[in-house]
Amino acid sequence: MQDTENKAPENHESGDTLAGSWGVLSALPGHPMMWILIVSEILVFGGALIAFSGVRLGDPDTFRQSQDHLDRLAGALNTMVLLTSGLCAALAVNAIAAEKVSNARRWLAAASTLGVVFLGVKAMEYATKLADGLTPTTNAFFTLYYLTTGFHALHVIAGIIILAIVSWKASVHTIEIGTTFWHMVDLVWVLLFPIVYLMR
Amino acid sequence: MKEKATRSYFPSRIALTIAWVVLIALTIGTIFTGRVTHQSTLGVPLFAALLLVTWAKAGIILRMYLNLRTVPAAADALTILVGLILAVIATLYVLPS
Repeated sequence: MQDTENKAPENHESGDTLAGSWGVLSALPGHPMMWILIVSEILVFGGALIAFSGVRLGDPDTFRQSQDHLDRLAGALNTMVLLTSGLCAALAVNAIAAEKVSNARRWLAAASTLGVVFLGVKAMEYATKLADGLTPTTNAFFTLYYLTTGFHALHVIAGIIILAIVSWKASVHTIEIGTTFWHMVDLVWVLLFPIVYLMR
Repeated sequence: MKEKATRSYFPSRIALTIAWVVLIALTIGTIFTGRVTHQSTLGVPLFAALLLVTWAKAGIILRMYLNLRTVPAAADALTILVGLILAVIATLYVLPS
């Protein structure tokens, strides 16, 4: 019974004609290709954060003084916004699995809206920094700050587009894949925030 | 039976909500361990606590939001990968500049 209850839904793999050729990756939720992307993204952002920590080692005073210009509380609140959008995305999968398509679309809309809120806070943060003359060329800290958070923001934009597409083409398979990308964006921010905003 | 199998494959609404509450609580923990309203340096104990909280949050996202609880080996592998990244960052933090 346990095996039956834990098995993937019937259409979990059927959306992919190559489903049988993924080997052990076939057991992963969503699409194996998405997991290859997720591992790649963790390595890319992880490498960037390690580079950030390494460069900081060479000039910790400049990094600490530059970091004091960031709004740490806004960053923490933005973390909560993204985590809540992740809950909405997960509940969309839950709803579509229960064949409640309208509910699933509403949860996806809520997740996307919170993604827009996240981007709005980020945009205000950038505007404040730029108005203060703190640009990507100011010093190494701000180069890496704009690079990592900007690259992450691009992923949020891509995620919102993906959520819109899977909401349009709603099925368990599409929504599970789309929300997998969204949770990856969530995960990356959870790693990025304490290093870029709080490490001092 | 198909519907039951499909629905139980994904975390329940209650399980997801509990995961979210824990994530928000850990983020509040981040606010305290990261001393977001202070400008002083953290020091090794607080930074270590901050990274442990971060690692715990990543583990919850992997297992519950990303549903890797259905593939425990993959959940463990990715949790270890994230842990290794954080360990390298922690090492760089304690190294003398």
